[in-house]
Amino acid sequence: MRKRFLALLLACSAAMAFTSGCKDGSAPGQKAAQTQEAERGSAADGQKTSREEEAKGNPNEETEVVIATYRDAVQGSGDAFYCWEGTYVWEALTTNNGGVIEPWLAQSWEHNDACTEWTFRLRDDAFFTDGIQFNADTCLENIDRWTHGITSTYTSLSVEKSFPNLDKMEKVDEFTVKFTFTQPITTLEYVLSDYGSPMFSPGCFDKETGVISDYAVGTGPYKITDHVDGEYVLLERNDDYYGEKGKVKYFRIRCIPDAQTRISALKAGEVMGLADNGAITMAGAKNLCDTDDNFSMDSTPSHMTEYIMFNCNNEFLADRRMREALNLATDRESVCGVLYNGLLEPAYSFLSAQSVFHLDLQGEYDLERAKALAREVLDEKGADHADMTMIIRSSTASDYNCKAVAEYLKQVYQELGVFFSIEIVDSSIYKERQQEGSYDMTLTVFGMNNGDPASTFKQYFASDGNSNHSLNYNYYNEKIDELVAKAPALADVEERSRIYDEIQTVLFEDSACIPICYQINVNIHNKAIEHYRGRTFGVGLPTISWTE
Amino acid sequence: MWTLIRYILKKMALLVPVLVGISVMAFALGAMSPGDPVDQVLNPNGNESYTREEYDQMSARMGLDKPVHIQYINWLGNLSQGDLGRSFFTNKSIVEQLARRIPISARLAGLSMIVTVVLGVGGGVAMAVWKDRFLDHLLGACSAVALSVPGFWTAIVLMGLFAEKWKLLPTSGIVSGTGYLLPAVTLAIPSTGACARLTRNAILDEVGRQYVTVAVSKGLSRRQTIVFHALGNGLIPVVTYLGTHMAGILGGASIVETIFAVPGIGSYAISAVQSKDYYVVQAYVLFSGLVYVAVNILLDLLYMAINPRIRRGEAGQ
Amino acid sequence: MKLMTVKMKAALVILGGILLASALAPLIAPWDPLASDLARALEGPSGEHLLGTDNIGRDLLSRVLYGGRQSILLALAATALSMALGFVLGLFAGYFQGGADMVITTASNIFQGLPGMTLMIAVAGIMGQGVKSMLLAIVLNSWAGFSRIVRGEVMRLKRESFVDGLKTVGAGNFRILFLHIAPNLFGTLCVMFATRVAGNVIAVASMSFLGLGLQPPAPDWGVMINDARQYFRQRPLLVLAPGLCVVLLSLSVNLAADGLRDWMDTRGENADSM
Repeated sequence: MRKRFLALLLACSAAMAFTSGCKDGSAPGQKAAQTQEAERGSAADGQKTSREEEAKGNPNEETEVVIATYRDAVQGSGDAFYCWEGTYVWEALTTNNGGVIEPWLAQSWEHNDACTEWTFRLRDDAFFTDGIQFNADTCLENIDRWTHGITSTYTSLSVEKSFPNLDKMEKVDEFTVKFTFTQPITTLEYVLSDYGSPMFSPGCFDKETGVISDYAVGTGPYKITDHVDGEYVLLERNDDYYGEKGKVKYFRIRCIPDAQTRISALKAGEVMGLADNGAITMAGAKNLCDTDDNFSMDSTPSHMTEYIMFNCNNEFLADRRMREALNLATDRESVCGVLYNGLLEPAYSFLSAQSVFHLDLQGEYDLERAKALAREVLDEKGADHADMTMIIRSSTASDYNCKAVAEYLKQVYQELGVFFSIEIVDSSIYKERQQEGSYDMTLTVFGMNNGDPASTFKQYFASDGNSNHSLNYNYYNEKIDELVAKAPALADVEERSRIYDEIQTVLFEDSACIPICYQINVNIHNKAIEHYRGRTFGVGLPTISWTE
Repeated sequence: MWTLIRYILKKMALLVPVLVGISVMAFALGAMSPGDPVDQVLNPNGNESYTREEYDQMSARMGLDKPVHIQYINWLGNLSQGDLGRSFFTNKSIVEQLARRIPISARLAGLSMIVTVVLGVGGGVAMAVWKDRFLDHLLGACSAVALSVPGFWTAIVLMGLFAEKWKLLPTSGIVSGTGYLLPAVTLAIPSTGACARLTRNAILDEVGRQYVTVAVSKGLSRRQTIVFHALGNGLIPVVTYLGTHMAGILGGASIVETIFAVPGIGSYAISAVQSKDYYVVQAYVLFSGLVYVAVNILLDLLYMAINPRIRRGEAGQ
Repeated sequence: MKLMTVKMKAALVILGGILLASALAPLIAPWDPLASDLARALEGPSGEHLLGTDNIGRDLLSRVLYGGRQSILLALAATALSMALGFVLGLFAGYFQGGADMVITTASNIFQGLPGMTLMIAVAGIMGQGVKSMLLAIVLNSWAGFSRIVRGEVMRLKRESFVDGLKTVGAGNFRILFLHIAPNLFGTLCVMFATRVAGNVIAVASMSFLGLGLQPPAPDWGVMINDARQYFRQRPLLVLAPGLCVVLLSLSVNLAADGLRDWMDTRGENADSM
């Protein structure tokens, strides 16, 4: 019996070894991928081999470029968008390029004076990669698709969201569509930008359900040729693209969830660059570039700003002097210089430097005055110190350097007699805490890519503002209410701009919140590739090429 | 023969309440998660608004408008048809995801087992053969250290050395088969330590017994005795350990899988826990419970093969 | 046998050193572990900062000294709680058998069937990060192991003749259970406790590493490793120092458990892997 058992055990382990060995090699797709991996690996490793490649031919045509992201760039059939915009597979009617709306599949647009009728002139030279032409019919078919309520991890997609109060849509001619609304809409081109109006080939989605059945087919400069869930997606250049064609023929976008592993992969030469905003922390990027000459960093402005927002129901924070004390004690120069490696600009006004309405305000750092102000408030309330809670969303804490900023500020504010505990919480708990109002401060990063800040000001600071209430900022200032009410009625940009300047000044003087720094997007890449530019969504794949 | 089948059936019957319990726990873990899944779906990035109507619609579509016990029964009902639902966030079928990820984790577990068996049992035998000699002490110290190193730490160090510095192995991903090596070794280090110690002690226990003395007196050398006799009998605790270890990796090498970007079960679970994707968490807990139960049945069968007393139904437990 | 004692001695010296340093941290730490000085962030080792400073200019040595306090207490408390729970349940299950045994054994099987590390992550994730959730996660994960062993031992002891003797003398069940059987389990429990503590030190560090652990700015080894990973290439000590502490602590506890096992000559279950 014993012998039989031993034999069994041996057989088992042998079988296991065999199957695991087999599985590694037998799947044909995987085999091919392995060979490609090997080719790419050798080309990436050093200049020597890449020179050999050049001798054979143009590396841009032969060698794939590997880019890493923190999550799978393709979400698949269940997702309304199927894949991330950064794959350059699908395109939308318009695109938001750093706050400026540019034509994309729509060449131009106009609206009547009442802003209830919008006409879009579509490109006549765009083809989906399956050969179907993009025109008014396919455009309307796509909009129909959004009525099916398919969810997405990116953002929601629905006709109500993209075309609020739509009365009817019609085809005017082969390349013109017209939308009529029951209520005026002034910023349709913003709403439709990027994720607001993705266009897919009617051949790739089911008309009944709107679900994209196989690979998504778009009009973009790249098309999907292979996707292994959770691992990578292979992209191939669309050689019939209407615009400037991509330089590199093949891209592989790999999914590496762990931030430090992504950096290791870069350093090991496995990936040439990181896409995705937040794919690398500023400290990580700077560190890598400082210590290794093979890498170069590229930063692009972002509309995100890091703020401390207050819950003004807190008896101390309700007092302007206390908020001002905290504002004065916040040493932005040090935060930007040390915690953000000197890459960020200190922020004093609410609107980021990316906004056309940004007002350049300069504040100061004065710890002594801050201490005096805080003492005044504490004494009046008969308190020795104030206990508070600061909440931070865990994703914010990991994507930005918020944790270090909070730890640092905790030390500084302590000197003013403001003792706060830091709680890093999941986004669902964060939401709950905000809605309940069970917090005093939050360190957060947000921004608006909508060009006109009127709604943002109202949302956050007007006494009837949505977020001001529901997220319990509980901020109230008569002057702001007055100004916010005035702005939308003004058609003249100059006049509106003046109002916005005033609002920013009031917010600053009242220390309604503490803007800390204006964020940027950092992208890092191996010098083996060049023309690597960060974009709103990812990096501009079409311009990338192997360095000659 | 009948006693054997009766014994097996009895064992199986005992596992039914365990399975039910695991399913309840799995469900409860999900249902207890804070945060509102409906809100998470309708408002994925936290700054969108929706109407009460939309909310109710989505809630009904997700089956979350019913009381918890009904939700549980519905869940079991779907489960019996092989449907574990779809992820709230990615809208992907969970069964499909599991089907894709289980083989990956299984490969990782298999490879890690091979390393553990070869190094662990080998090291244990060596320690037993050269008991109290230098090698015994050296390997003993190594296995103690191996047992005490946290996996995430090993992962960071191994990746830094083998991938980043010497560029011998890929940092992450399983596109090339060698991608399994670093995570498998990381997982195998503590288990190798444990396995070596178990093997050594088990053998030395056996060596102390009478039949070994007899075998030695019949002219077999001490080493031969250890390898051919003591090892076979002493394997039971080692096999038990290996079984639970295998189940452990299959159901949750979460940190290691995440660090090395292995799209297996563990990294799936971690990302689900982080995004509060609770159908996925439920499915995952259920799956790993099943693996545990299956491994236990297999181990029971193995014990029976080894110990005839159990086979004859003499020993109750 | 002689070397065992050497090993044991070494283990006790390391363990004692770590415990002493942690206990006396407020007295021996050269700096306040929370005091930051941005002007001196990420400095290398120097006379003033023996191990250098971290990314917001805090003294690494002081943080390492403080960093074990909460993890050690947490691991001890969690293990003690699991042991207490497992002990009581195992005692009842083993002694009374029948229905109580069925329920308890099934429950312990269920908990053993749930995936260790990931169950802990799930529980901690659900409860939100912090000491309470880590405690609960560890207890949920490790009570069943204790209960199983205790049950087995009790069943073995019950068969021994002295229990029958006591019964004939007229001793009550609880008297037998707590005055006569329980003390016999002491050795086994000690060994199990020590082994489990070593495992739980690693579990606490792993949860902290995943960001499910203590809230900032509390200095904690696991948290420190996680925070410092992005500066690893520039200042390896930031990761190595706290990591080494975790390894040494877990190693010395493991070795001490070995020594204890030999000394008491009992056989506790072996530590399971992660």
